[in-house]
Amino acid sequence: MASESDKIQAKVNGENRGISKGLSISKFLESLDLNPLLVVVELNAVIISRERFSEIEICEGDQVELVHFVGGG
Amino acid sequence: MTKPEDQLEIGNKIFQSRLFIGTGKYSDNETMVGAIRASETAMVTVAVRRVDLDRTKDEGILFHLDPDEFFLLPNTAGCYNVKDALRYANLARAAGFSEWLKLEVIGDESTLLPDTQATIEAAKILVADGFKVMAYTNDDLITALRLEDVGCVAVMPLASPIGSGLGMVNPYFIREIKRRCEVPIIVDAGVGLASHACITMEQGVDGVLMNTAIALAEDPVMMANAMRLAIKAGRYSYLSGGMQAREIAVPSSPAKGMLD
Repeated sequence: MASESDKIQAKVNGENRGISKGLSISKFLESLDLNPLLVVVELNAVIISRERFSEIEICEGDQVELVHFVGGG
Repeated sequence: MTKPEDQLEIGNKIFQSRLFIGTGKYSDNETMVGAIRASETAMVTVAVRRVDLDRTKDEGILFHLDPDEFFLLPNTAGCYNVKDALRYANLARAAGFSEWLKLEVIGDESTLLPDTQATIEAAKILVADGFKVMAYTNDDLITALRLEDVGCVAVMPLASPIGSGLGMVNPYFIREIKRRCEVPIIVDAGVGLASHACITMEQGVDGVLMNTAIALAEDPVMMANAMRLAIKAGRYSYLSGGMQAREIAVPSSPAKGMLD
C-alpha cells in the first residue's frame, strides 16, 4: 500500500494532486482513464510528444496540463 | 452541380463546400453531428481546452467526430495575446491531425473584436513555423492585406460580432476585402439566418464560417440544411451576374398587344 512518502505533489490542470512517485506520463494517463491518442500533454510549459509518454516521469512540483479538443467555433 | 472550376481551394487543399461549421454550444453531441452532416460542410472548427479530470469519459469531441470523416480546424478562441495564441496553436498541432489553424486573438471582452495587431504578429510567427493559418479578423481592409502579406492561407473577416446573429453589417468593406486580397476570403462570425448567409455569399466571398446560427436554432439540423442551401444560392446568385437594381418599375410583360 502506498504511504504518503510514496507520493509527490504536482499541479495538474491547475489543481494540486498527489501522484505516485516514479509514475510515467503513460501510467498517469492510464490511471485517469484517458486515451493517450486523444490528449496533448504539456509538462512545465513544454509539449511532450506521445513517443516520450512512457519514458518521462512526473516529478515533485511539476506543472502538468492535459488538453484535448472540445466543441468550439 | 458545382462546376469544377468553381471549387474552393485554400492552401493547396480543395474543399467541396463553402460552408464551414463550428462545433460549440450544441445541446448534445448527436444534434451536433446531425447538423454537421446536414450542412455537408467540408471543415469543422474545434477548440483546445483542459480535460475535465472529474469527467474524462467521452467528454472530448473526438469521441463524436471522426477526424477521418471531418476535416478539423482547431482554433485559438479565448486567447487575448500573441503568447497564448502561439501556445494554443502548438497544443492543437501536437494533437497530430494537421498544421491547419483558425487564428483568433481577441482584443475586447464585450465585443470579442479581434486585436488586429496581435493577430498579424501571431500569424507571422505561426506561418514561419509551418502552420496553415486562417485568420479571424474584423472588416478592415488594411488588416486583411497585412494578414495576406504575412502568409495566411485565408483571411476571415467578421460579418458582425461573434455570436451576435446580426448578419453582415458592412457589405462594402467585405466586398472591398474580397476585391483586394488574393487569398480566399471566408466570412467568419455574425451570420444568424440563412438569408444572412446568402447575402454574404452574394458579395462574392469564398465561403462562410458559422457556429451559433446553427447550434442555437430550435432545430439545428433543419437550420444546417437551410444554411447549406443558402450558401449555394448566394454563390450561384453571385456567379450568375445579377441584374442592377433600379428605383423604377419596368413591366415584365409586353406593353404591345394589349386589347382596345
